[in-house]
Amino acid sequence: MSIEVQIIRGKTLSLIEVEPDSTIADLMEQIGVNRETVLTRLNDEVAVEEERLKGGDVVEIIMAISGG
Amino acid sequence: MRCVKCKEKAVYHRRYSGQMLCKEHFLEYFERKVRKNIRKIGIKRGDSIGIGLSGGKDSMSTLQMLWKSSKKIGFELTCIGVDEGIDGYREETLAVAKAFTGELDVPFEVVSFKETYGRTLDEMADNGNACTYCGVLRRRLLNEKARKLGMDKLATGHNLDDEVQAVMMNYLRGDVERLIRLGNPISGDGFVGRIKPLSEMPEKEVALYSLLTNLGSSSSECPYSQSFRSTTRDFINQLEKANPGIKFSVMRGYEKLSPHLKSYSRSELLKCSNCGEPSSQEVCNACKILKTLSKK
Repeated sequence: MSIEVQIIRGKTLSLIEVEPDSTIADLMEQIGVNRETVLTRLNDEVAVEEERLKGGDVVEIIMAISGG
Repeated sequence: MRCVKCKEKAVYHRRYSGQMLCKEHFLEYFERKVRKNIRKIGIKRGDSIGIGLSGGKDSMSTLQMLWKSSKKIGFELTCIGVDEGIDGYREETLAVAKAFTGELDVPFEVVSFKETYGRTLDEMADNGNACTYCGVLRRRLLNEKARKLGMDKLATGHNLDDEVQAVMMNYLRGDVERLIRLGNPISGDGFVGRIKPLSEMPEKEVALYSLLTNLGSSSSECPYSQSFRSTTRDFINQLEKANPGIKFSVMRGYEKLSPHLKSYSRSELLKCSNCGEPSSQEVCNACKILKTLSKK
């Protein structure tokens, strides 16, 4: 049974279902974001991509690379 | 996940070394490595160092690190901002830059395309050439201003990713002259030598440093995108994801190759026959662009 987490990207907030025991890195794979290009906050704290997710978690994705 | 050094909560997984680091140990590692690079660059007591400051994370981190070193070594800093005239973008980033220089009590001079070249980048840009125009004209303006201010060196915020992208782009384009110049920068009359204190730091680490130290750097994106650089950047980041540390491998390989390439270089530092600025060609690229624009 999957769990639901919230994702914040800029001003956009969305809900996504992930497999139980998924990590932030798994979530990045699922939504097609290269972990090398972002920083993440888990429930308002800067977190490594190996952190495991639980239902109701909020993951904020912050772009780490500049455009141009 | 816990820090390998103190067991506090980890904020960074340095995948190329396999280590998890907490905030304190990440900042300690980052600043130690940048200080080492600053020492290697050879800034001396009494030097005047210019910094190209945009307000983005790279140049703001460069300023923060050079400011800290300037207190220990004893050199002077002056920041130079370039207002290219990009509506809805540059005003915000320069305001951020100005606020930070005010906090650190570092002089901040702003030069603009409009005042120097008679038109903004927005007015120049068409046919997707904005990044070419901007790169050439901004470099010239920075050099000119740094020279007029009597700077001994001009620091830029280039990070490891920027350096790797430059090497790869020149390889892919077959532009051997530029590839040689990357590792053997031109120097001489009228040209203020460049230094890149963040050149050993991956962009992700610079972004984390900026975030953890609340630098307040602007995260605005320039509306002009450079598609070939973006494609190269994405390609390198895909490789890095699968092979952590490959960005360092590219640079170490290039550094080994670079001395052997030097003898193949045809370029030497000349003076532009039109404007007198240092150039590797008889007429500099800035004058060529300005001539093209004057016909429009």
